[in-house]
Amino acid sequence: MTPGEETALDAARLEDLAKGALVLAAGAEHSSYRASLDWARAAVAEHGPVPLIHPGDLGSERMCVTVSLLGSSAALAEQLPTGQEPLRAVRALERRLGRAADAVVALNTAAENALLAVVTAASCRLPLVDGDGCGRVLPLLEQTTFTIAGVDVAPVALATPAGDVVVVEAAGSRVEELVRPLVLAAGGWAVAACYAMDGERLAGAVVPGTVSRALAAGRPTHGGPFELWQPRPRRLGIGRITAVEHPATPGPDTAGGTALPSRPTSVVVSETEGLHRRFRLEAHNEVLLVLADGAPAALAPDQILMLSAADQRVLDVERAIPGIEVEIVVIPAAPAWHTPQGRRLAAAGGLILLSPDPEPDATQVQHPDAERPEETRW
Amino acid sequence: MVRRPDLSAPMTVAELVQYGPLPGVRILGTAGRDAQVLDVRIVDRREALDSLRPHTAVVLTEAPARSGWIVEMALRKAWEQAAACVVVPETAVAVHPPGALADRLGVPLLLIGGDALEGAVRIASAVSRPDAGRTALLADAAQRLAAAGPHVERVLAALHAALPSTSLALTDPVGGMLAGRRAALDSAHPVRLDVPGPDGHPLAVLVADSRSKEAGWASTVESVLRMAVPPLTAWAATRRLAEEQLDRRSELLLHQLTHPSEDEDEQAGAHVRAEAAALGWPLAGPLIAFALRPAVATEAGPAPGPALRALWARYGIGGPLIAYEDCWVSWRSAAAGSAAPDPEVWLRQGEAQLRTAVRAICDQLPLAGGVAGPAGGTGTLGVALADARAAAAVAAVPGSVVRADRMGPAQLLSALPAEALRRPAEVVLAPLLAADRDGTLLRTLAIVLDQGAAPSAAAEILGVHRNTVAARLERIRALGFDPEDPAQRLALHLACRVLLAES
Repeated sequence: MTPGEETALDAARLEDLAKGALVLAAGAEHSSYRASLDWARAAVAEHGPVPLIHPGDLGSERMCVTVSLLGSSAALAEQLPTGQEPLRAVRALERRLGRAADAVVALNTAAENALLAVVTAASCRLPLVDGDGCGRVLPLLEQTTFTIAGVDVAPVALATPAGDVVVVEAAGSRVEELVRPLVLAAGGWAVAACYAMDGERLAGAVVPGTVSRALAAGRPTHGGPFELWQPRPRRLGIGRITAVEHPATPGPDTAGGTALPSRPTSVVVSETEGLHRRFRLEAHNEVLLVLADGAPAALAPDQILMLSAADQRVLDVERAIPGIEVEIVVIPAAPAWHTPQGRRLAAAGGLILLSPDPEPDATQVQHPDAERPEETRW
Repeated sequence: MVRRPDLSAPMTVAELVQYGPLPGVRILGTAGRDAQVLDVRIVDRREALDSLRPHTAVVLTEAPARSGWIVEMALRKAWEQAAACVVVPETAVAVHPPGALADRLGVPLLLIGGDALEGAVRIASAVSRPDAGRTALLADAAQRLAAAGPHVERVLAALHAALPSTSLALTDPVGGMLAGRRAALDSAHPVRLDVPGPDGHPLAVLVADSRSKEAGWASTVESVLRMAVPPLTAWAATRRLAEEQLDRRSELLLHQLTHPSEDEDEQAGAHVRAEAAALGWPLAGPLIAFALRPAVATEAGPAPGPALRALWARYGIGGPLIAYEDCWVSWRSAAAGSAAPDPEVWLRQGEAQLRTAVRAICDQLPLAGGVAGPAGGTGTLGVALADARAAAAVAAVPGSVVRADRMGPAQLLSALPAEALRRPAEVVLAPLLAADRDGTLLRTLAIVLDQGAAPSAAAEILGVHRNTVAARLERIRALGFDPEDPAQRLALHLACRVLLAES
């Protein structure tokens, strides 16, 4: 959407958003996703369509709060929400700050978090900002472009399904450590309202357009889910999975990544066209690195996805089995993530950073030989 | 010692694998094996891959090698920086080592047994002194050959073990396969080495085919083959010794069979017969006896025994072949070849068969044969064999066969010891020899005497007109010799034959 334009998220668009929000979260827990979608449908039905606004339209006088689901999404399906959690969290934050929120922005536009932002905006009767604080998915609360821009995560207001409300005051870099045990004690999940900022700071820190991007991805169109995306994702190649390995030790160097739940996985894809390269995808929770004939072709924090060639849907790494034909796609991360500070922050959650290797794009300039991928764009 | 120029060449990846400084090494990727290795780089951190030197063997330690993606990245970095190969410990690599990528990039991937650092040290020592690796290979081959001993199959197995990815074969001097792998004979660039027998004559040829075309490899292979020559020669010598022992045993057994001693009891005789039967000797009469006599003196070349045995097995008429005084004898059951109970038919058949055999053998080993018999059984076999031997002894011309019961005067006379009688013969015929410039008169006299002084028969044999013979006889008579004089005849006949055998 363009500045000044206002779209309303009605029931139909909510369905598009729900579908599109899965593109960046292929491994989403199905039950909690269903629960969140039901919740969002109910909220939109009760409070009416949610206006979607451009981040730049908020202005310096109005305040925006960020909402996110904390804890385990599986717990959400077991302990269903009362429906009051988002409103209570936002109200608690408003009380603490002494001013009312004017807009809601999602921490990321993936699976439950995209839907939770709609629920929050609907129940608070506030507009939803077309953008988020990540542009992709990262595991930690502080891994946002807001943090990179210098916006404090605290104070953080937590609302649990049991009715508790906790406000965590400026705790610097220890927010994550403080909040995690609280969430566990509260029953496994909570809604957090945090990163309160005015519209001007929001405009400078947000990854814009992610909601309309997800809407576009979820809209039934011909071609792939990225048909209407701008900029278009990078297509590395198409091939067949020939091997899926689970190395005994973590593949790529992980920095404090032991907390990540899933096991390291390597997926070998033999390109079935063009140069017939051998791709190797190294994944831990998500794909961290792609080697094409041994040379890095893409790496985190850019998001690397496997699209099933049969139905153009994103294939979760955990569901990769030999024989499936896939397309390897790279969604460039927001520029903020490629700054030194951004790379450091991304690495904090366990994402590989192959420093001091140059970025793949830079490598391409250095070795403009035939082995380099011919990039195709949608 | 002059250092061979090929030894100073740097070691190639293929040689690293072939010379075996790396225990249990496996090589993936067919391309790039001829790349030279000049240096070793141990990589324990991924960052170290960014600065590789050309012609380096990149050795990944256990930790980085466990990550399949680092192995792939190492192959890529090795390719980009012209390193020679990537070496990883086999225990660390994934179930699917990236052999296809090694192939694609032309960078061989070596999977080594044991520790990476130890492997790196071994490579470093092999690379720093390429000839040391070759020397180690030679030492290994020498140990294996020593353990194999003089047995042709074991020697070839030792060579195959010492020279991996090399096919070897042992052929006879004209290329017939004796042992080993036939693939060696189809080689485009074979390495050949003659193997002499115990007597110094060519025995066999060792042929090796190495698929690798590295400089110096052929000479290394030849060095290894050279070490295999003594055990192969020894093998031939022991085989011949065994053969000779067999000959002696057969000779003794034949003697016992044909000369049963007076005081020998029934049981001992039966024992001898049983042993002979076990060797497949025909014992039931009537028996036709054969004798074979090499036509040339045996001192010049190798003992003809093994060769004759081989030729007899191929062209002979069956039956044993046993050394018997100065010749070899054989015999067979007369009834085996013919149903007709006629000794004349048996002998004629035997003579014809032996003649065919002798002529075939004569191409390679000049000899003459004798036939005698039939003997009623083993008791009279000795006599028949002696007769056959006597007949063979008078068959002067190589390839001829004489029947003992058809020996003529010429055959008998030709069997006389010519050396002792030469001088007396020259004295007897002195006037004739003085007049006879070209030997025509001597030959004519001999033939006339052979034919019982019948000029027409002699003319036919000499291929001249009867009148010519008559004219020559006139000249001979004029010199004082008369073939019809009973007092002179035997002496003249003897003297002619002795001098003719001489020429």
